[in-house]
Amino acid sequence: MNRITKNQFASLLLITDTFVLFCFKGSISLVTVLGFLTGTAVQFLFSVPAVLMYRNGGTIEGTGKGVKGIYLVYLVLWGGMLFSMLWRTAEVIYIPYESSKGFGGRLMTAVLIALVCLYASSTGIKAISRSAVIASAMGAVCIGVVAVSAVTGYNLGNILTARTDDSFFTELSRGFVLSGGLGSFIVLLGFTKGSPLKNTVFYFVLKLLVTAVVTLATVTVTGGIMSITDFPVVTSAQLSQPFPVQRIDSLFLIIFAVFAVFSITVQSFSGAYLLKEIFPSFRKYRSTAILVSMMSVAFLFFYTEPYSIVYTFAVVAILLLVPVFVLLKRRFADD
Amino acid sequence: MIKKIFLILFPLFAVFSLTGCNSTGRVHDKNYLRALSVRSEGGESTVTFSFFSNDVMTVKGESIDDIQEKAELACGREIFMGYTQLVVLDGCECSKLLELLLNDKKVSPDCIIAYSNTGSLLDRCSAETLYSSVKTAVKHGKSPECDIVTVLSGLCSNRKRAEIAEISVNGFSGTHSISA
Repeated sequence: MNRITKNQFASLLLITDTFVLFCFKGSISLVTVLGFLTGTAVQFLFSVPAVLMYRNGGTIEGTGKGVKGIYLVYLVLWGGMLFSMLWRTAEVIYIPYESSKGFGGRLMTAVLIALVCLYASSTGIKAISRSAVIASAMGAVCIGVVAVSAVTGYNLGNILTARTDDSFFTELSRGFVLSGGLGSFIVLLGFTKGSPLKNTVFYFVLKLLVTAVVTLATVTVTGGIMSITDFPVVTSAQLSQPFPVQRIDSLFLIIFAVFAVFSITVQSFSGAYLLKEIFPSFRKYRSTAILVSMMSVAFLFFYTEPYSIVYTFAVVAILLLVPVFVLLKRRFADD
Repeated sequence: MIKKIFLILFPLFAVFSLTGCNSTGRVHDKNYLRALSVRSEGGESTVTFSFFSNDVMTVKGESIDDIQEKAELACGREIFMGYTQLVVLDGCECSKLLELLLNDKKVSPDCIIAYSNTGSLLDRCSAETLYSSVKTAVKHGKSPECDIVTVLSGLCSNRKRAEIAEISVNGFSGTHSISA
């Protein structure tokens, strides 16, 4: 099996987390920031059973077809959710091409991204993970520019004055929904060189940092107009001006598209891997099957509430409950 | 072997078919808006468009979209609002208009919002002069910051008010308070 490094592992997962933040719909306030950050800390605690699952050379191959099936279904559903987020957000992303608007334009964008994902999946985990490090570095530059523009050009007081109607626990729950990429965290952790605990700590520390920077920069830029902003992270990127006459729309557009591709590719690659494990005779067109399933499932999410408590439970189940079940099963098998 | 050929040919195909200049996006097919003045009276709006090409056009209608469509039909080109520098208001519903301009029309976040009660000011004065006049007033502290984001922040706040520059044919003439 090809192994990936700690940096590649973190890059692959952080790209998905950042893309989901880009697609965030609703209002952000200091309560949201605290909810998301607390959610990340809780997720780290919940990931301990998954780390123990991989301790002493444990692999996902040894977890049984049922567990792999659960993760496969989850990855397909999360991939569908990513497609639906892409669909929704593409409406407000400023693409200076006339044919990009409307149903047809957005469908074309989604199909092209699916084709690129199919291409990327076929290159294998090594190529994806190496390029993910470059993509995440580009993303870090974009986020850095937005953060610097926020600090230099906007009122930092917006952090305290921006208000949302939601409570801390609602925001904590939403933070879990936005961490749907943790399904691929479980799969990829088994592919990563080095100590699973160190890799997990490294990823969650970076996730905490990225979440804090993105959300705080967003509140600073769009805090004053939050009530009329549907997609605050996208708007903050559109309003950020590193220099008086220069906006970063085009850089953000590239980062958004690249992150969309990587986010979906990570899910499709992980899904294709599990499909091979569950059905060894299914050799060809695994990635195609996963991507088509994701796009079909995406239609389920188009017109539903994106931050439902059901999704929070789904994330808790795959991060905490399933690994706990695997550990208990191993324990009883040993006895 | 087939996979290797696919891995090479697919990106080449994508590069040649999906990138480059498209015939629908030529620069001279658009009219680039420099300034806009909006006056509302009895449910009807009068909008004066001032373009970077120095053309000025006044159109009446019920909504901004309707007015923009009429203006595009009259000048025979699509109007691009992404570089708009100045919006002059007179008796219109400020919040809704500014929200539309920022979110849908994608005007620049640097776009200045000013007030004038001297009729269609853009017919009589150069948009460039008015814009420079307000910028200078802001620089000297005579006028509050009145870019579209700051003004909308004020209108969305608990006060639901914002201070903007007032302009006349002589340029900057004072400050004016608008409410949501």
